[in-house]
Amino acid sequence: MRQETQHPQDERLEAYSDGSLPGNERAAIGSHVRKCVRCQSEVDDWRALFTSLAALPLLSPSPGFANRVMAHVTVQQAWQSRTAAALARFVPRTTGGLFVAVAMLAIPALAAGTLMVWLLSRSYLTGYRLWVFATDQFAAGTNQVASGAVSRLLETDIAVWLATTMTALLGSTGLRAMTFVAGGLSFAIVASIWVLYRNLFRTPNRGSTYVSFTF
Amino acid sequence: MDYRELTDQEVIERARDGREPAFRELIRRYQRPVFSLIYRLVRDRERAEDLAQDTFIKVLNALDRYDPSYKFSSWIFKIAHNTALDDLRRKHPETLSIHGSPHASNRDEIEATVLTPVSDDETPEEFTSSKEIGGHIEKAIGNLRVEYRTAILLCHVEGRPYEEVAQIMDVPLGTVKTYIHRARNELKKQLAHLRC
Repeated sequence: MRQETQHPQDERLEAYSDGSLPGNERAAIGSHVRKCVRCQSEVDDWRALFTSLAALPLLSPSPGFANRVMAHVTVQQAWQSRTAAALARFVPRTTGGLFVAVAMLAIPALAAGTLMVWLLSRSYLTGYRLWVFATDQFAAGTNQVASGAVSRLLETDIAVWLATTMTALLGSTGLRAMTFVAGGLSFAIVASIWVLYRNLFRTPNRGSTYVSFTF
Repeated sequence: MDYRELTDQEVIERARDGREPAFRELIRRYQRPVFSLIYRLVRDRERAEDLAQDTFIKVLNALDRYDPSYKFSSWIFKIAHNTALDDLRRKHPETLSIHGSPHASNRDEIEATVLTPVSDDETPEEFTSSKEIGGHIEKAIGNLRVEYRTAILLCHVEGRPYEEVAQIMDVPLGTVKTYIHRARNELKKQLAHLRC
């Protein structure tokens, strides 16, 4: 067999062996390799290495791996996932976007802070007076909303019916029996809230079942 | 529903809808590739188990933040790679042995940490002979720098293209090519004694 004197560079032979050379160069080196024992041996070595690497076995974690992982995974319900995904869209992904978002949040905070500093710098306004003013306003507002809601509720037919029925029931069954009934109802309400909470927010993992109860 | 017939993206959609079998399908598909990569990087079964578990917990709890424009395999390998690198930075690397962890102090621990191939179509005889060659290669890979090791494992063992390896390792494509070229040459030198 005739030996070519101009051997391809090692990098070229390596690339030829893994098939990453472009067509024309591949053909040229292939033509040389077929005639050159030394380069053919080099290509064989590369290919043997690639084959051995590809033949390395996949390794398996110990049994129960999936269960151990799932014990720490929160399986969210669809609405939770969609809400999280929708909120995630508003989170900036780039440094520039993050800077703009921080700046936008900082503007109202700075404005409020400046206003507060200016107010506190006035001689007629002190921190204590501002606090009293804010709590008074809050209390008045809460009181107004609550009293409005109660008076509206008492004006409805349902409230009148409920009051009449409860009075009649209290007269016929007595206070003690009514206390038991109220206790039972309270327990049922708390238990229902717990079941709802477990099913809506703490969805099952590790093969656990949905929480339910029967009376 | 047979989740095995679905693509990764379809399985992820179902996982996002809160279907637990979809989560388990993702674990089934990737537990061996991810564990193999991490094991060959950190070279200790117990640590590899913990790190593979951490990887899956991170990935499955963050499915809402997964961007479908990227391949899921790239994403999970990237997290696995980063998790293993963080661990390697904290601890000293050890010598790889297919015969068990160097930490093993008794027979039970040696058996518990031995590398276990799971190729279904390999007979015990084939395994015994391939174990001889595989042992040399595993040892040679273990002697590589961690960057070269990662690149060679992702490219040749996991069969990922250069572009995906670059994405997983978060380095330019040219750097990946350099890593792989140098890793191959080192492996070739280390395994030269097997040629005859």
